[in-house]
Amino acid sequence: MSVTLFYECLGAALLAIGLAGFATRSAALQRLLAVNVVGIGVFMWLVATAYDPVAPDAVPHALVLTGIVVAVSANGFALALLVRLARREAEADDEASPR
Amino acid sequence: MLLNFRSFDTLLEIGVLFLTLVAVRALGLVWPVRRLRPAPSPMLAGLVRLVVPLAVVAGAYLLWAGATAPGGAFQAGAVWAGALVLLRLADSPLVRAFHRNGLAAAGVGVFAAAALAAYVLTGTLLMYPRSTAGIWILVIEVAAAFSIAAILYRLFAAEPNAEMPR
Repeated sequence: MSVTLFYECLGAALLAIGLAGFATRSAALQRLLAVNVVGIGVFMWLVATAYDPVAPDAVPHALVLTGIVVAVSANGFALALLVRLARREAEADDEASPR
Repeated sequence: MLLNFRSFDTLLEIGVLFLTLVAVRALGLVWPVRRLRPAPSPMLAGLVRLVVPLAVVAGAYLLWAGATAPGGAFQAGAVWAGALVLLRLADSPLVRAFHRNGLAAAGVGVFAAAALAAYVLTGTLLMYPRSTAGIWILVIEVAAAFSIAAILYRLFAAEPNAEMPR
């Protein structure tokens, strides 16, 4: 099995694991982590296609670097959303509980 | 590679980082200014004293070496953001300098200004004049590194506003 094919399969496996996690978990933080795993699977696949023993293709590498930064930003935003969601649920609980 | 051949991608990428900061603010999270605690634990203080200067130097090296080796603005900004997080955990007032919105916007601003200036000078957006391209890239990278560090740190340090609307 060639190097490219091996890491492409590994990337696809990570993507599948992440999707499965996203589909089966209901907790928000766990779903965010699952989406992260999907992203990492995509990055691994991209880097695998760029493999060449003599001169690796630099364009997918640049795409992955950009993708990592954007993924970090999206994570930051998603965590802010989670904070807001937790706030909202806490306030709903306060209202629902008997005084 | 990222700053000469894919400069447009990198410009938008820094723009996305800044946009994320704006979005987090729009969700109602803020950055209250805290007072320095009288005495952080000696272990934390020792760790900060050891790690932060090393991180500053490592980030500066990554920034400079990015021209010819793996490194560059994003890596330097990320290392510096780690140092800022550590300072924040120790409640150091040093982090306050990085709370300024102008600093977060400087990366996008300088990069966009350089893109427009290149357009005026050579007729193509982001086509730096070949003889001085290295200097252009360095200026952009320095501004971007500080900006990235500020944005990443503020994404970590954001807290829910006391009167957050539902």
